[in-house]
Amino acid sequence: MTANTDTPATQPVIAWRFYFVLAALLLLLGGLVVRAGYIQVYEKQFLQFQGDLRTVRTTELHAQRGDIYDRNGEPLAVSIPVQALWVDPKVFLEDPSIRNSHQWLRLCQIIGRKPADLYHSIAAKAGKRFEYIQRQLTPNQINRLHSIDIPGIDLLAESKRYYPTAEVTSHVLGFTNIDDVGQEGLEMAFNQWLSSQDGKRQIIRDRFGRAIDEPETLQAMQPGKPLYLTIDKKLQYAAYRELKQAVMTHQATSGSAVLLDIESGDILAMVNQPTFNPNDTEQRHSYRYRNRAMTDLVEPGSTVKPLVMAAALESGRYHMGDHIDTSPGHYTLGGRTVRDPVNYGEMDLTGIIRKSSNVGISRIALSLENNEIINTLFKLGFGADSGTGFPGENTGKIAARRRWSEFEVATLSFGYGIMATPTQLARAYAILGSGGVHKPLALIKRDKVPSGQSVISESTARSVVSMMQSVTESGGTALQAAIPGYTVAGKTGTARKAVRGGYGDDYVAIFVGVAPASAPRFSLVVMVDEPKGEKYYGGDVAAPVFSRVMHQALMEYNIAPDKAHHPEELAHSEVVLPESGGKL
Amino acid sequence: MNVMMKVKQQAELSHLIARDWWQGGLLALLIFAVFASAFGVVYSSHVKRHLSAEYESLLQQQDKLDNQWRNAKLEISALASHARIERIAKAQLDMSQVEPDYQVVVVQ
Repeated sequence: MTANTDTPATQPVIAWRFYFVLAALLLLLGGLVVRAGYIQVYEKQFLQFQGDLRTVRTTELHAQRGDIYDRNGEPLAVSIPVQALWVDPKVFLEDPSIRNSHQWLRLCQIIGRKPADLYHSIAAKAGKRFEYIQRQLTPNQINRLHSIDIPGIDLLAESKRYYPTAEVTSHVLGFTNIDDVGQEGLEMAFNQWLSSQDGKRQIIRDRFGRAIDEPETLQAMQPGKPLYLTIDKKLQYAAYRELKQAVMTHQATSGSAVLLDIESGDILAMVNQPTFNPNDTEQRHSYRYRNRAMTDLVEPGSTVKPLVMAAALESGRYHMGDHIDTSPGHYTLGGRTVRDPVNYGEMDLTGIIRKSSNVGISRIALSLENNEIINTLFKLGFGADSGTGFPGENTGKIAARRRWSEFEVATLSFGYGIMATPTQLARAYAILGSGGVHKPLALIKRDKVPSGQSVISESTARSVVSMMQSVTESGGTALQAAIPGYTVAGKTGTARKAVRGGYGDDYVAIFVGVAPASAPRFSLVVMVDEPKGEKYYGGDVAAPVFSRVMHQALMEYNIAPDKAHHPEELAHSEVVLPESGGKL
Repeated sequence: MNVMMKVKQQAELSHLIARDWWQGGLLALLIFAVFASAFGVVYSSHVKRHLSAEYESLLQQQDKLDNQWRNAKLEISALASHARIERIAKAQLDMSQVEPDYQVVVVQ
């Protein structure tokens, strides 16, 4: 410091002042450094914690469960975000005066609870930190609740599952519980695929409550993946409507129908009666929500005859033109009688199927090796699951005995002593319809049609289909299964229901078949359990349902008619359909 | 005299400072850069906050739209349900299924 001011020489620097000021400044500076160090190092954690407490928030992102669609993208199950009202009893109970507040009374009014009851139920959970008050509030309730601010009570995002097609698809889809976990059907089988994971984000808010920074995503939100089914909503509804009608008309206890696409093995429709509305939790009783088409076993009755016939043709010992003598219409085996309703006399193989002759088919069965029939049934999918992974599916029962009595073989040939699900029956006929190719069934849409596996020879399959065509033509047992414009190959079945110690007086009426018979595209089984009316034959009860549902399927898929009133009309471009036959 | 000297000294001082700056150009540049980047940090964090707030509000909007879409899907599905269409077609519009007698099938 140079003193070149006014009087440089006369005023000497007073040294102690200078050092005093210097020391004071240094002291202040030192003080600041120490304070800064203290805050930065020693108090850092506490201060940062306090700061974060005021600005950093963890928010939850609620992810929705995957939706379920039919094969054309029509929604079958949709999750809707809703809110739940919850309480932290510890915080809530801190201020007892709240129970007299206007807000509290209003809240109780919105959710429709008595204030005293609700308060006591919360007080009973005093130690807890989380209790639901009410779940799945309506949008209206949520709007009104927004104006209410009671310490310890808050809203929480959650989901509600809606099934727009309600009882039409309920057996296939199943349902979820209130916590969005699949409980039945595909909701259960594909729970993991459909399940979502809520996300967690950390955000920093400014004093206006705006999020101004997002330091980290604690947990990424993962919405559930959508599921596309093979079900065709339109055909599913057609099957539902017709089956329901039949079950009601005949006062049956239950019924099932399964429609398969033979080309791909896709399950296009699967319905049961009785059914339930999955949107109404009150209706969830097991007798209602069981998917009988896959879980319940029936004795297939006469519908197994074409399959035995396939075994006979496969053995090489029988051929299309062969004749069997069924007179006098009954015969005795080990003290028991196999009988036909009337004496059909001598018939060809087609006649046995057309008339559904017990004597004829059992004569054929007895001439075959036992394992030839059983093996053919196994090849046609009996005793094997559908491959769809449907929960609770039954694989059926075929008694694998070493010794069969002759009577057992005879009854086996007309469908007693084996058990199958309706789905298995539809599949066995689909294999016949596809020329002996077994394609794995599917409820979930596949990218590629599986090539399938040839299980019986094509000529056998074609022959059996042509035999079955006679069933719906004049002289057959199921004229009501006929469809105007199309040929139908199928078989009726009317089986007495097994009860403890024998067979009772109740029947199962079945019709199963493929159409069009010339180049089968669909396989459909209709099963009506315990029809109470005067009619209980498969041809009277199940065949009309078959006709109407199959007709709709053929029209929906634009399948060309293969039958006309006058055969020559098919050769021209225009076909006027015959006036006979069913109405849609 | 005194005043004149003071003025001269002050002029010299500013001159000195200017010359000093000119000579220490690099230093000045650095100081300027420090300030510029400091303001830059402030500005960019300001922009970021705005963008974050906008992102947040867009997320909320997305959520709202998703919610609307889901409800719309349900509504369409309810309105287009086969049972409803069938009921309206039969009861209100007096329609019925075409009887086979009246069908003409064109085979190509």
